[in-house]
Amino acid sequence: MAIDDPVIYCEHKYLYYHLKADKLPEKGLPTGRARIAREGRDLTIVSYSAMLQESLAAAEELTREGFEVEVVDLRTVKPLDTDTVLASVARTGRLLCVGESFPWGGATAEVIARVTSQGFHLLDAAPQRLNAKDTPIPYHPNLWSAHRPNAQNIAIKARALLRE
Amino acid sequence: MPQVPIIMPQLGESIAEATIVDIKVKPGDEVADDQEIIDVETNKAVMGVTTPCKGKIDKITVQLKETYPVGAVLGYVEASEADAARFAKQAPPTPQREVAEEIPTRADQEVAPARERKIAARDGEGARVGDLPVPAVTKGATFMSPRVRARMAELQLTTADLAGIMGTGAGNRVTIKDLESFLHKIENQTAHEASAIRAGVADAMRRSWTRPLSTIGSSVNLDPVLDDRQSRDPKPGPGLYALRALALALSKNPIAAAKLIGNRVVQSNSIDVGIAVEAEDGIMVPVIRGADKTSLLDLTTKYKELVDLARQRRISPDMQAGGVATVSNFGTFGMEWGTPIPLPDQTLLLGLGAGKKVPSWDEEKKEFVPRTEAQITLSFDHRSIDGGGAGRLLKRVIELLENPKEL
Repeated sequence: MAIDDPVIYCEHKYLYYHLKADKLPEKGLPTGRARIAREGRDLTIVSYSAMLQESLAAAEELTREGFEVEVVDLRTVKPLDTDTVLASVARTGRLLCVGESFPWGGATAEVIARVTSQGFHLLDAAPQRLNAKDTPIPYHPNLWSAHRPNAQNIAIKARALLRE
Repeated sequence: MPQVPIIMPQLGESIAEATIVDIKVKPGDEVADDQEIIDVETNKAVMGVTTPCKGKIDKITVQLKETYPVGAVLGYVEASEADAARFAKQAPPTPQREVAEEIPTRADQEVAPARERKIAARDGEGARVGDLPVPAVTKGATFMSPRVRARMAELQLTTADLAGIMGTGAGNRVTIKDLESFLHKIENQTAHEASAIRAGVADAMRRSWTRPLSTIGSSVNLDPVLDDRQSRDPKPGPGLYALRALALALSKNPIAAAKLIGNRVVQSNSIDVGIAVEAEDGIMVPVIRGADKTSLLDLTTKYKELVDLARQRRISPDMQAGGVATVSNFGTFGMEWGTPIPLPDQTLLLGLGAGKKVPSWDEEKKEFVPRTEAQITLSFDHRSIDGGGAGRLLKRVIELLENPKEL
């Protein structure tokens, strides 16, 4: 992180599969600045942390159906980079927020709240979000993978939104 | 003693709510079983609401002239244990019973009028009012997303402008992409700025077209008018005869030109009739005030002045406003019939087609005789007037035109 304050890392263990030493950035990451992880024109998926990888995989799957999905990596949720999200929604007109936390409130809800209040006129379909199920987190690997969003159900949700 | 609710019954298949028009009892009154105690009015008929069982009226929770949904609790009857138990057994396992069971627990709450409930019910999918489904999701061809609306506002487009777009969204709704590709397509075509008068006519016609418009027509013998015309100086055109005839017919029957606004029938105090005049790139409709009190001679002079002003586009909006009906003489373009659209703030439009010599059967001579016939049409807002009313008015206009000395 490119800040002077002390930083405590709570790492998402799932990210170990994706954080390879040769892919690590050389400079520290800025706070409050989202990045466009993938460009597209049909739908904006806003995500962060481990769900970014699932969203990118879903976007890849949708390419085969002729959809170009833009994926925004929030990188930090507070501060939240509303401008980048709004600019992306302005390009696509559709928004899907994907998060791994519980559905009640949270970062995905905040993104949708901001987009609807500041960018209502940008939306061509009602914004949607996909979160983990509202249950305790199961231990068994099969149950755990059914509990959290993954590339398949992100793609299903995205497809429905694209057909609106 | 137990309280048994008095419930707004299911009054018909497509009826979701009814308005209270009469309450025949007051708290404390003794009532019999199945006694009519409240009169309610639906859009079809007035019906009685009966008591669920014998007892004493405990309270009436509704107000006169308010509208309540089917299944709403209208009041309570204080009944004996036995009667109340019988009611509970009789009540069918329908939504009415659900309401009946649920509401007494909050009997102190007033029943909200139907309109408020409906809005509240829209919040969720599968919302129901009096067990009838309320569409919760707006999708399909008529739905416009905020994005499409914002873009339309930016470009000053109206829904009518988008009529040519085939939507690709859910239920064929027009998406922002459909709109943008449509705009892109028209960019390659020749275009110029519409004149103010064109835009004005477009706006008026679009607003008028939101109403259920209908047109009826008949033929009229124009020979009496054409003969009468020769005897007058200056010579009024057939359009002016029609205007005068319409004004006289309306002076006897002004309600025919009334407008329906909400639940009110609004009637003008003066028979002011407009006449459509073609101007460059549009139509102007100068209005002749008190046309029923103006002689045909004065009408002719007035009309000439107004037409001159209209052609020079020097007619002010005031001079075109406030008419109760309009006459369109589309016969001047050689047209025999048409279905003109009434002005958005008017109920009636009388159209006159071109005269044509036709053989007409003469019952006395038992032979065909030539006569000049024209088609005369009356376009009307079917919310305000029906075919019968419009027909009688048109018939009177025809009678007057065939006896022009009365004009």
